[in-house]
Amino acid sequence: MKKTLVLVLFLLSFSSLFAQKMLSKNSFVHIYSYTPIEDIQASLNDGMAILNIETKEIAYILNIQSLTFKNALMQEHFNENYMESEKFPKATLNGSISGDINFKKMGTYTLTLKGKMKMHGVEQVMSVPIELNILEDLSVILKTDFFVKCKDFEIKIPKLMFTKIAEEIKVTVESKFLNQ
Amino acid sequence: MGKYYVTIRKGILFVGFVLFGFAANAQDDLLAELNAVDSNPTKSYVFATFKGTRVINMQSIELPGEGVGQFIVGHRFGALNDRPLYNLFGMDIAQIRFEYSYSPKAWINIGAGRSSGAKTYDFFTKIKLLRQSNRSKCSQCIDFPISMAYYGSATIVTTPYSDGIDHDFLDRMAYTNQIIIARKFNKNISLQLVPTLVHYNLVPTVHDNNDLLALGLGVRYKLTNRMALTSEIMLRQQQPSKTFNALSVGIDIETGGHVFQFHLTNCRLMADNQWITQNPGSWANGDIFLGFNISRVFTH
Repeated sequence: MKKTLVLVLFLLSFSSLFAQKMLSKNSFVHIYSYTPIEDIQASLNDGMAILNIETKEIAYILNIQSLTFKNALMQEHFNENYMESEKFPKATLNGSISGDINFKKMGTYTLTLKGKMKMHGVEQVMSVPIELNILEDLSVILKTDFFVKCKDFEIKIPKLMFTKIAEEIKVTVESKFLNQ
Repeated sequence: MGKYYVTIRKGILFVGFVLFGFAANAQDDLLAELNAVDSNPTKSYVFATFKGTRVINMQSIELPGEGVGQFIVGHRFGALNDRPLYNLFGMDIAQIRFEYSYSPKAWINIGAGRSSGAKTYDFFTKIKLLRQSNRSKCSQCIDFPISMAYYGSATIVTTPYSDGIDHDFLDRMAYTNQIIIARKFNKNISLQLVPTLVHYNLVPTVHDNNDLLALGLGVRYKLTNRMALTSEIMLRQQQPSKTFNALSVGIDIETGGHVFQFHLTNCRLMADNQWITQNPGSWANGDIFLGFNISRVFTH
């Protein structure tokens, strides 16, 4: 009897642990550079994200080479000369959401995500506004957009290209987290 | 009863440990945990082995991207040693080539061009056969150490014959077939080998061969993120008199949608079969020509 009790407790502890983490395997990310001369944009939809609803911690991993541009040569320049994605293949974000959220009930929240973002080999502390939507089936949709300065991540833009590439890139993220 | 109590307490303690352990882990390693789940079976292909679709005169392993059209203007000035001040180092005498190509798919490119001089039209295709990849994540993937492509072109010379004999249209045609084998060794160094077969439907004398074999060698060395040194040579199996192997050195400069290629070469000819087999210029004799290729890509 005691063994069964231990076993049940053990399994219960596991199930509760597993339930508190939600995954998003198809996060959408869009980057947009606006200048009066040229608009440049690219997107991916295989971003990986994990959300711990107990601790409200969140992590993202993006493959830089998944970002698809309309112009293949531009994509090559982006990977080869700007992001150096052979050397730094991934961008990551590791942070936590501040504010009260009831993940057991439908609802919409506007909150702040604070954490560390790493790309091009450089880590920066970030604080971005996010919108959380908890749906009927208790899956969670996260939406955010924010600006990233190329300079902050040591991504050098040659002077010749300043008119074509914005110094601040708008990043839009949309993730749907599902229960495991 | 007492014995039971002790054991249950031990059990709870154990469960507590497990829980604590997991909780502590979860705090630190959410990113590591995600990394473990991130098992997208992706092949990691090598890109930008060369910057342009040509090394200089020679075709490189690269194709314009899917749905991309590319316009190239090639320019070869006159010889630097041909009355340099009178002709402003050859600036007054230029050969020019235009070409436009389009890639309906990422692996196939088709195009046409026209070169001045022998007033030559050409039609060509390049097909990617293999792509070099590095440290692919999926267990079933095989990483190829090289990239491979086929290049074929047909050229039509449109200058009039001077031999007074009736000629068939096909007499004007020549064909070039190449297999391009390339490897990007690291971020800076790329190399390609290009076995080449040129076929002429008509040759000037019975002593000339209709089929000519050659081996091309192309290299790229990146100086900075946007500038690279290039060089190429076409080594021919047979060396007909008064012709030389085409040898060129150049610089690639990349600026967004353009690739500028400046070079010094002993060969002014640009149509495929002509630059490979008919080059009359020799570095040793001072037949050195300044030239450039400018490419512009368009997305349709």
